Amino acid sequence: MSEVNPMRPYLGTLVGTKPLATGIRLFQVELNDPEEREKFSVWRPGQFLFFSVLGVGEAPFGFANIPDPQRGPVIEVAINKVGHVTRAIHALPLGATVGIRGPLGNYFPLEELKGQNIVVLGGGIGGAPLRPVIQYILRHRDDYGHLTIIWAARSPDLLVFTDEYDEWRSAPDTEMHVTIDRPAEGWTGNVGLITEILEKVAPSPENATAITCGPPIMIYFVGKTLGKLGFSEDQMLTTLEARMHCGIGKCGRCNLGEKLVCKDGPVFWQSEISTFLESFL
Amino acid sequence: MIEDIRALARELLEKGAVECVIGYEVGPTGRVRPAFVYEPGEVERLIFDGRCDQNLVTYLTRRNKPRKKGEEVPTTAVVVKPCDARSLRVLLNEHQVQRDKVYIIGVACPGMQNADGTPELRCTRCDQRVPLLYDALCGEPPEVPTVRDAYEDVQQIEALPLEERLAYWLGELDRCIRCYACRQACPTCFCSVCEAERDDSLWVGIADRIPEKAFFHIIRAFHQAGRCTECNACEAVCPMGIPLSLINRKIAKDVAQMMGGYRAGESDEPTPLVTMLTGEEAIDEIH
Amino acid sequence: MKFIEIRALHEWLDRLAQEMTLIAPTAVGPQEKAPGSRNPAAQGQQVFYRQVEGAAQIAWDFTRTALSAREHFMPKTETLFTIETGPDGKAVLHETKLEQPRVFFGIRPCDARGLRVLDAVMLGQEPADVYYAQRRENTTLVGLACPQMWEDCFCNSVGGAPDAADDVDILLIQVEGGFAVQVVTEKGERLATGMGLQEVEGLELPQPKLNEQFALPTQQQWLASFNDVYWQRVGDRCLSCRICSYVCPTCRCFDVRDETVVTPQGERIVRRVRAWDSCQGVNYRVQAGGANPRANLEQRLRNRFYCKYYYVPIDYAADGCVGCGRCVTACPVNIDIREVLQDLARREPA
Repeated sequence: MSEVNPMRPYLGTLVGTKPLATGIRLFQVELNDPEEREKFSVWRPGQFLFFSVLGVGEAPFGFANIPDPQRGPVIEVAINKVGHVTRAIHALPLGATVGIRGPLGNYFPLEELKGQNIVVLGGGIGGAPLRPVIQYILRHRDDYGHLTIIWAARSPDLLVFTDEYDEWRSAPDTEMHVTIDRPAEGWTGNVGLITEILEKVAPSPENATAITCGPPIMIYFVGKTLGKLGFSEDQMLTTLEARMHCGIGKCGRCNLGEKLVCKDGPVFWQSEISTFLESFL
Repeated sequence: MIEDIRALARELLEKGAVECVIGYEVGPTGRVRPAFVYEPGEVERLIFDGRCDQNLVTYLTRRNKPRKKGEEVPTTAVVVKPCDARSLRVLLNEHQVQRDKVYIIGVACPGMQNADGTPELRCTRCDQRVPLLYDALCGEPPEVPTVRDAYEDVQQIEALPLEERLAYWLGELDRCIRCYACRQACPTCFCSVCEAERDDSLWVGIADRIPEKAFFHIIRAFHQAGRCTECNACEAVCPMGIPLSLINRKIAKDVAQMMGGYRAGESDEPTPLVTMLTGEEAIDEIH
Repeated sequence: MKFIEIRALHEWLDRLAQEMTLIAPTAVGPQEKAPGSRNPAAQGQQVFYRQVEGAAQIAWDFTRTALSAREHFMPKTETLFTIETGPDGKAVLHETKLEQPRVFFGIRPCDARGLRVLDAVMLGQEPADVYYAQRRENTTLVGLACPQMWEDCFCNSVGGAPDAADDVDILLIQVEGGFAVQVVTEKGERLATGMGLQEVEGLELPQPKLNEQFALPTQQQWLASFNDVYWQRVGDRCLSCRICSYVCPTCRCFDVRDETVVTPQGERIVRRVRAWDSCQGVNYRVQAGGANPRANLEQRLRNRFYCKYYYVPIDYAADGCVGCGRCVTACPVNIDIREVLQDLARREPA
């Protein structure tokens, strides 16, 4: 039964970690078993996994990268130290054995969006599940139109993946805007909420899709602003998070009305969210 | 007496002195249950008799918070028996309920009855017929003989040899399903996160095994030491019929013996077993 | 019609208990209690489905058990796997092993129907839950029809019946001197070969006394009522305990944690356990950062009713409630699902 037990994690090894922002680190995991590695290597932007510290517990996180043909399927997740599992993850030494379950959930329909202009809006650690979107588009750069990246955080020390901004900015037909909520010492860039800079940048809704991830309240207000700019709810994609214990529609934990974040999501069109019976806020 | 309660409830609601009156009603299948009356026109729902044994004070901590940030705490009227008043006294002493946000409809208590009409055991040990505190008193206090709680039920268990006592409790706690109804029904169990439900399982894991269950009940009992008013709410709601009051009454008995007859909720003084530091008067959690 | 005499049935059960795990209704707890108590659970011994060693331990005269059959398919606590250290110092996971074959005797038709709901959730969609699947596969259900609907029962309002054979492998219906036996499935057929059944002509089956049937709210009525103040009013008296969830045959929410225990012998066991949880608990939806999308009691209470009657039908194509009435009897503040259903069904459709 071990082949098909969805509650049993694959064993992996922590092969790398680096700080991303205050309280947030990137963790790189490689699965131990070559067969399992092969089976696992097909995840898509938007999907998520369960990360176990064996003996402490497991918690769900979005993939922060796409499988890399050069480096092999190293799994990357960005993890904020907020609960008891994440505290244990942050304390792991390199080489530690960890558990991984997944890939789980649906994904951003990037194949369907070919030929379109893409606006990516990430707030705080919400930027992490959007990094695979950016990586995917940059890898298939010719398949997509103009790429606008708007990246936000409460303060400069909470911006994630700062060392990759130059690479993203310099990609063809790509623009990037970074903003922080309030002025901070030494910060010379944009100051203001993500919605303010979004209004200023004012990407055209023409043949475009906006992809947002951040705290629920940000998703709500970014949706309003995109609406003002002429985006319809069928041009807005987002990804939600919820407490969950299985990731496969059994534990009953993550429902918003009849929708299960794990199974029907985590990626949703704004048009779906706005008809949710129960608020995601 | 019920006409007095209804008239008072109507008056309070009509003049807007309270948002809601918490009392008792008979549900569609004939069961007595807590009633929340918001409209003067609905006070006829209210009843009061020997079946109204629930302790309504348990609802007050929940209602004593603003619904939304910045909103004012609404005032609630509540029907309170003498035993319930002791729970309310504990909550007031511990700053869980603001006195001016509660209108206490005290009832002269006839004593509660079992389903078969016999007096409830706890009522045969009680000689209080008028609540210690109220804003208005309804009903004429009946005469009752003076009784003294000798904790006979506790003594019976205490008299058992250690192994038998252990076997008795393990047998009882084995049935516990960790539904937490005892805790939820208890007016003086109000921690925002229960030690038994912490995400990190620091004290108690999630398993439904005897060690976890025993630990939960023991933690709860110790947190109730000197605070439990022996209202029996925990035992009355237990879906597994576990005699939970016995645990709390054992501690109440010991507290009374050691602290010069101290009984929770009978005075304005907080329990001698809870240490409060300056600035900590509004306790969020009991440790 | 097949028939078995009481004595033959007892002998067969005694034999079964020798050969495999036999689960059956049995009285539990001290006999001396408070017969007059307002708390039905405190009135006397309660009946549970438990493993028994023979027919003598079986409670024949019971209404419904205190807990549903669910605890034998989704145990209150189970170990998913233990985490051990291999010879190379690396972690090794050991999954919980397959269980032995079991006969579940005396399951009430509503409880068996509850398994249909759990099947839809745990098995109906890929990937299936292997722990639940094993227990289902290894268990043969021998149902015991209710001679009547009991107080608070409403199975006939939600598509069931006190003598329904739909969800068991074999159904027994009490008749004069013994039981009429309906063998329903192949699994039941295999088990029945050892029962020594007689063929009796013209056996008359009793008609169980039914409770009054009521109409359920329509999907439109559910939809239209979601944001109604009604939930606040029902929630007013709710204690936010988990009795309703835990006595329910179809609630299936679970929590998963890792734990390390040291046995009295000093052995250190690290394991991942799964345990019952309830959407009524205040922490149920709390995320690591502290956000709680269902912080209000009425939102949690509402979720339970919608889960049974709106979400489960949509998400898993199953009816979420079997009308066993346990939550009605056990609720200490008389939140009565029948009352809620009838209140909603009386509303004008939007």
